[in-house]
Amino acid sequence: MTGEQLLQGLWAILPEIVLLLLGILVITIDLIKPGQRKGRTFGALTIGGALVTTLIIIYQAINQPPEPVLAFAGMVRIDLFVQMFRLMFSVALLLAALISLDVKGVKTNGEFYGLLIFSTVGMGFMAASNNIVMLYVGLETTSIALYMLAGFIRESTVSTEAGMKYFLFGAFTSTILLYGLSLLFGFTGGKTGYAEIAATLQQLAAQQETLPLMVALVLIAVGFGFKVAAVPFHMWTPDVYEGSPTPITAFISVASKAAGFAVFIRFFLIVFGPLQEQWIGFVALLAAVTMTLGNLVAMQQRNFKRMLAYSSIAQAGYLLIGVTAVGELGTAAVLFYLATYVLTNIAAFAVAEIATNATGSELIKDMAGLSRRAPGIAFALLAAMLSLAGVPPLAGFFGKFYVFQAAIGYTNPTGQNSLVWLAILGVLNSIVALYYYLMVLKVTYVDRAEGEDVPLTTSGGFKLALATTVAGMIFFGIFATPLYTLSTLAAQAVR
Amino acid sequence: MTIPLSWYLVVAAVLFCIGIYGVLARRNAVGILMGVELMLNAVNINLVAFWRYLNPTDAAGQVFALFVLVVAAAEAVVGLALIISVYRNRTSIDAENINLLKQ
Repeated sequence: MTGEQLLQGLWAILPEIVLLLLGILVITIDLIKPGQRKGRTFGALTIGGALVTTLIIIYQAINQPPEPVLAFAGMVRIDLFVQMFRLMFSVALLLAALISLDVKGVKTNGEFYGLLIFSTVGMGFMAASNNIVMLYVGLETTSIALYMLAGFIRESTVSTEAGMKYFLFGAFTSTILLYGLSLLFGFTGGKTGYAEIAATLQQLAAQQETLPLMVALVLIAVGFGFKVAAVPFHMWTPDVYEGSPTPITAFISVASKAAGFAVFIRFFLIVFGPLQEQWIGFVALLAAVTMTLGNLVAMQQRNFKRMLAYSSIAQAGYLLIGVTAVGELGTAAVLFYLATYVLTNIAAFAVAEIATNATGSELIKDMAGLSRRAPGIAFALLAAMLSLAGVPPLAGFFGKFYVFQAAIGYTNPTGQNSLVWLAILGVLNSIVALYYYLMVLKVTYVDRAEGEDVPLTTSGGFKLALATTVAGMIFFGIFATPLYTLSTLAAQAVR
Repeated sequence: MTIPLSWYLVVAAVLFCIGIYGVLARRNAVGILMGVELMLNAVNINLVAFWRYLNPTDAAGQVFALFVLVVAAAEAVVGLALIISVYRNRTSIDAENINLLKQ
């Protein structure tokens, strides 16, 4: 490797380098000043670092060469697709740090912010991976940090339980994924790069030798299904979402899911591209089951965080429709959907944390009277719920619109469209989902509660996070075109 | 006489299945973790066997196996720490009893 190549490689992964240094800095400060009151130092550092990273990513994305940059002997591949995911991760980190500033048990803890940053680094490498070794290392860097964060509040029985469950499911499914990767490594004659594997698979598919490959594909899909919380690999989701500290729940539900979709799309479109005809039916089934089960179970939930967990399973189902509709249209739809979903779900969980702090309960019925105690917070909840339900003029509407459009516009190699049923099922599911999202709004806006004239004070971090996310939801709901154009450009860069 | 590649793959597959059985059948969290470790070992046997028989000049398989070892160690450390913190809160690590979040 020449010096110039090394510099180019370092420039390509600069956002991850900055975040890694930031994480080490945060943990070091935490170590060398034990027992002192450090207040918001770590939160402020994390937010500042995430801002700098976001700016670096934007600068890199603007100057992105048309050809993808392959760095470190093809280990990572940076293109607009990766840049867009990195942007989502760093914005999610920024917002998660903002809503952690006033959460009991985590707000002044340096390790908490350090782990949050390390997991973001892992996500960046997951999205950028161009080699199965890199993919596995990125995935585990993300997951291991998130296991610790889920169980971060050691005195709390629910938090530790959430951490342990997340760990046990995560370790199990990532090992199944790894076994699939090892088989793929063998079937392709000892190749690890995505492009090399895809080329070998092309030959094998031409010789009709697909059965062993399908075994590897299913094993790998288990690991990705866990990451994006798709049925039947969703069992951990409700418990982990309910038990983890709320900022972590928000972070897992958006950033970890986005990272899961980044590798899902890359891997299934590039590496398993030659097997497309075989896996489309499989993933379509996964999408159908995921959104239906998520929505049906979400209706019965009384705990707000648990309801949001099932709602996020359902959202994974809608996103999988976009993956199934292979091609630019489908990928662009997923990217747009995920970008708006980052804003929406973080807002929803921020409101959940505020309501829990005010009433000491996570139940939906105890959110009654929120609209009179804190009109601003209730408005943020209104925007988030309507955006999740896909009501115009909020950003979530266009996300769903583009995903269903992609499914309807999809044509398979024989020129037929086999996905209209999936789009129809998706629309039906959105109607079902409207019920439980509106129930939450009915409780907060219509139901009366004792002490509802006591105004609720909220701290600055929450206010800033909510203002940003609500502004984003409304902006992208009215002016969807710029973001969709970016998504389309990013989708074109996948191939 | 050389041992054919398929023998190694069969051993790995059997080990993997024993691991899955352990994860699904064990109720003790440490037992589940041991099942996962068996599965990881199956992966390593696969990787090293494939490397030796198919592409011995390229070190990718060996390197992959080493990465798996390191990650498995990190995972075990975090997992055991989480199990200890659960144990401190309720003096049990039986997966069936850990169900506060289900109600």
